[in-house]
Amino acid sequence: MIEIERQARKSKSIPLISLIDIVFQLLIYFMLTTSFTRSESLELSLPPAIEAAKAAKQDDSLTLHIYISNTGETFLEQKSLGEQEMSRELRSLIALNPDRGVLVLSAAEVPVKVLVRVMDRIYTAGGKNIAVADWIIPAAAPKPVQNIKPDDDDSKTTEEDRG
Amino acid sequence: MVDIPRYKQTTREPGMMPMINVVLLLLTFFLVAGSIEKFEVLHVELPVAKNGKMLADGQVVVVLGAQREILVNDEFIAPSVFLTTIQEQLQGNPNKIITLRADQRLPATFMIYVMNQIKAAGGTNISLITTPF
Repeated sequence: MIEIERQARKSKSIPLISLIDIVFQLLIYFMLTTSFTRSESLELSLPPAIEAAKAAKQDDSLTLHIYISNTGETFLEQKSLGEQEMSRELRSLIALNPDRGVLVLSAAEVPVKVLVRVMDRIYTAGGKNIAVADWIIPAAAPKPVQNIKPDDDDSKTTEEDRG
Repeated sequence: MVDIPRYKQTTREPGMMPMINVVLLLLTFFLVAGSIEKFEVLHVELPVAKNGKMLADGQVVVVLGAQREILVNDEFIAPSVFLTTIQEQLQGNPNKIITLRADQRLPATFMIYVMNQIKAAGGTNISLITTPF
């Protein structure tokens, strides 16, 4: 009779150490690659050019103009207003007519940070129709020009930046 | 002589099972709560706003760097070809959401110029990325 050698019995438990190694590797990978920073967005809708021109013609007198100077000073129409006053004034003006458009005109050296802060304040005040344009300062003194059509400003911007 | 009973010798090895449980819990937390960050071709400091809404990125992502660099879908684009690139991207669906990630130090006039170009290319929906307070 042939004697078959019995194999030593293998342990049936799962090798824990290798499992832990893999789990640790995965944990480190996810800890390093995961980010918890939230980013949000302000929605802007651009009306098609023809509609924008029509809207500008119809509602130009109703549109509120906010000017931001190079120094970061903000003007509502021709009044220089601080943050609190601006918010209060905007809230009362927009409450009268919620569909009132707001045109933000920023001077050449205004950073995006300041423009977004002003836009944020308009949203807080309840404004919905926000348009942004370039403000070409006519003189050294801040004398906002009335009845600026947004499209005219757009063309100026384009020309300037191309040059 | 008083016979002091011997304490049973306890195992000195740390308990493996609770540790595995904790590690697996941590792993599950990071898997569920976090989102894997995409590789940033160009780092931008986003402006801060209170009124931002949580939105997923649009189909076209435009990144504007502090030094006036323009990236469309993670590719550097010269300002002269920006209009045509956006036109190509919007072909077939002008209502695509264009996500604009502009650096907060960038002059606003440049961003307005880019927005005008998007408008000229036929784009209608722009979402400007901000960070909450």
